[in-house]
Amino acid sequence: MNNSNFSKLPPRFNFSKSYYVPIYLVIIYFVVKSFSQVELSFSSIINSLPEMKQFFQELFPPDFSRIDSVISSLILTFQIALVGTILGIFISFPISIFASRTQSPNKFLYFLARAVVSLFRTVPDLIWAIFFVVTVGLGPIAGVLTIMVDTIGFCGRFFAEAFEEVDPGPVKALNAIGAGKLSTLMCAVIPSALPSLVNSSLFSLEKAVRSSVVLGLVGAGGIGVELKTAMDMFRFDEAATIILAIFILVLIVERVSSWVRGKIMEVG
Amino acid sequence: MSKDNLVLNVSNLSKSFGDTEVLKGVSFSVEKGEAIALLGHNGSGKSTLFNCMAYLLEPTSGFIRVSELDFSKLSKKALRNARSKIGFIFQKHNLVNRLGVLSNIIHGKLSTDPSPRLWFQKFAPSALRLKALNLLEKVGLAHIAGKLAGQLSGGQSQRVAIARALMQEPELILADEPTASLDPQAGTEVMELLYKLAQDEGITLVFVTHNVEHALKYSNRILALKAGELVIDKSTKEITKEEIDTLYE
Repeated sequence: MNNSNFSKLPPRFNFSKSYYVPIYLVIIYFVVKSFSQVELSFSSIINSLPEMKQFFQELFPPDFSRIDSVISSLILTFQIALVGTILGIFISFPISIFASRTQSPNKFLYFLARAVVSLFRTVPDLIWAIFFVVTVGLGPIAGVLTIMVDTIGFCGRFFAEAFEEVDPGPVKALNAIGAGKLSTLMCAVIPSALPSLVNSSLFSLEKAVRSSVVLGLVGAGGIGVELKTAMDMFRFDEAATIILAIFILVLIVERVSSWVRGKIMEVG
Repeated sequence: MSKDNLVLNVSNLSKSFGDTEVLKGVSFSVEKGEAIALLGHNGSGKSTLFNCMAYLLEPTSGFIRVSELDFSKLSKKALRNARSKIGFIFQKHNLVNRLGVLSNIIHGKLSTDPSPRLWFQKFAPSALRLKALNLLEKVGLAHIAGKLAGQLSGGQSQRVAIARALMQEPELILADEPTASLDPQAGTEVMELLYKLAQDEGITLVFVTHNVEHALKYSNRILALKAGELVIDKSTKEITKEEIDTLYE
């Protein structure tokens, strides 16, 4: 063993570096404090078990007497999610090109597109739903606009990242022969990024279906309105039917999108 | 050397990255129909010269003329048009894996025709589809016309890249270590094909290689760089083994 090289080794992890210690202490304090602040107590969970049992007893057996209305609300929920997602994908596509470091025509558009995508992504969908309910009124349109904005935030980011991760080789080959920017985008960038684009789009549809259920709770249309009404009227057996219907819808959408995703990947 | 016959003229070309001078006053001319091998060890400036020759990298000083066009004086658009005369073959084939072989070949024509019909072979004009298929036949791969580029072997991909370059009807082909990512047999086959097609079509060929055997077999002139300077510019017939050995000392 050549000990003369010892000093050339990169440094080991050094826990005792003095400037790290206060940071570690603050993190540990914050985590411990968080546990106490949220009043997490094992006994309160145990004590609430009888209420939980009572609630589940009232859920079952589910009441299917309003199944027609539940199904039509469920279909409307899916339609809100579908239309909102499609609009969101179409709008996020050009934005994501500007928001991609490698494709953006200039820095100003890059930062502007990034800012729009960040704004749409960081504001929670429930806040957007309240905003649209207040501005455009109660009903499915508020739900569609909320899903659309949420999808722009989601797809805008992931589409942009997909464009940035594309193998630069084919792009370089087309640039080298003098192909224009649009040709390079259409012939090299988009085909290479296609699996990621499809993947992100399908995930955003799944996400939109789950979101559109919750959005109904604030009046943005769909089955959430039915669920809120049933819960407010203590019709838990009816609520059970609605929850079951939502579960089946989410499951079907996830299965179908997973199948489509698999088919797309197979082609590659 | 007749001026009319000049395809490429590199004059006093220098390129620096910060304080590092990678190319130092390189000058040479290439005549129509020549096959030139560019040798040199790693870091000698071969790839930088390759990129400068097509103005993919802007030289620090000196000029490059391709078919009498001074690249340094061209606008962006004119430079794009001028590049259409140059076919490129890279170390890695640089095909779009998710597109079909025929679409990839047709993309070679995007250098002169930006029509959206050329984006996918399914919408391309019949004449171009047929031309692409004929080129695929020339590189011995007509039977894989319906495949995706991602399904091909390394050797097949590089042949398709050659067909894409020929689709441009270039005056000059620049190939940067076209066999570097291939096994020896596939490498020799690709080099043989590239040389033969260039000779048959009367296309000038400049290829960068580390394979001395390929350089001696598939060129009629050898250029060599050492520490950014052009140290050899000789006919392949005249070059000696000792001269080549000095490059790798």
